[in-house]
Amino acid sequence: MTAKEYTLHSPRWADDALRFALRCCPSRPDCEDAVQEALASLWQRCSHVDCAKGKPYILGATYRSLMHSLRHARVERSHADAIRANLPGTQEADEGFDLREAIEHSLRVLPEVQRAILQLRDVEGYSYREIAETLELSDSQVQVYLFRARVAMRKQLKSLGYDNDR
Amino acid sequence: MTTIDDTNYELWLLRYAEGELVSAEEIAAVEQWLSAHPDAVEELALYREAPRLERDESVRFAAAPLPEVPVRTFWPLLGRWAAAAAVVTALMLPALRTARMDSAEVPLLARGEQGIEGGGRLDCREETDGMEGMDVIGVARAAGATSPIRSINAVASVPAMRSILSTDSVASSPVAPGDALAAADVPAAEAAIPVNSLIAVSEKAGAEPSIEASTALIAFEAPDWGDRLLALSEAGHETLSQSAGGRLVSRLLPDSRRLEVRIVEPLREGISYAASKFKKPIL
Repeated sequence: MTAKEYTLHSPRWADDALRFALRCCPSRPDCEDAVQEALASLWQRCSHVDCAKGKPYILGATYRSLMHSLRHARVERSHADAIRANLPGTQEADEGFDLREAIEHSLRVLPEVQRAILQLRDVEGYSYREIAETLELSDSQVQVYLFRARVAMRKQLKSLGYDNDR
Repeated sequence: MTTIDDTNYELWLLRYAEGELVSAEEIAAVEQWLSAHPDAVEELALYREAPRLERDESVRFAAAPLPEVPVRTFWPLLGRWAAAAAVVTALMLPALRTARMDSAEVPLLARGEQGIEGGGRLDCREETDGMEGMDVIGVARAAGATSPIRSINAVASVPAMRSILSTDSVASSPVAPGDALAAADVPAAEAAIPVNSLIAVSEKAGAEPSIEASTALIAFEAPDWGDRLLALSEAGHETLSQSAGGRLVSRLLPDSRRLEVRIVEPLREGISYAASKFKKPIL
């Protein structure tokens, strides 16, 4: 990939990467950081990455960066959540969602990797192989996770009262 | 693929549900297995009922559009410095061109191996009209220029270099939207300023009167090379700063206090870009 190609494509890839990251992590600043690191990483390896692989590279690097930062944040967050959970009136209400909100809610219960796979499959239209390369998984893992993600998501939607909605 | 069993049935069901099983034997095997596993039938139904995610087009990286403002001309301010500036131009460009050769892919325009230090080590220190008390330094120093550069004049008068480096936050400097330069005091007695105190300012792209220390702006314009652009980044980490939609790339290398600035793309005359993604505070 040339610098010109990078300049041409990276803004659009960055949007896609941010969209993808936000699916995995609700914190926009964290997502933007991850995207930025991914862009930086691609820039540094520009000459070694084929332009056609640029977007998967960005998405993969974003995901890895995000997972790295999430792992660091998880301990602190779980501690804070534990404290918050013991406070009165802080339980999240499961009622009153519209379908879109319900879907978002149901996604949040999924592991990050499953959310990432759903995003890559549904939104980016990636093949199992492309998802596997992006997330550094095997094809079989991708398919199993995808299956589990959809099942879990549907179950969650049902629990929110969306029995018949698609 | 091996035969369907309790350990791999999810794989099979997904392919079955997606119509990816082409062999009649495989399809029959799945259906036979399903007939003996009602729980799996339910899972398959859930899978099929699950909604597909949709693209959210509202999501944009660095979503805020970058302001475009006319570049303020400096020529009226030049006066007696015009001639000197022309000399500076002549001195600087070869150095910059040499530095540019450092990278085959993206020219390296400026490199300051010593970092930018405060106080007397700055080549570019000059009180100037309208900028009294300001100490500014030029990118040219980082580019290896050897001649003293009268900062604001050089910057202002060299079309290829309407930019400066400041050695500190410019929060207190009188920079207003549309102003061309910003600078900060550089205490003469101050020791070497950490590389991550550097901030680049340039043609202001509608910047607030006070520029956050964590803000960086475009630092360079080089019409002689086709109106190119380079930027300076936040620092502290070897991080390429992506801003203006990925059009600016630069980095400060903390290990050696080096500053690298690279051309990324042509800069359109009359337009400034503001770096919008610099989270980490400087100092």
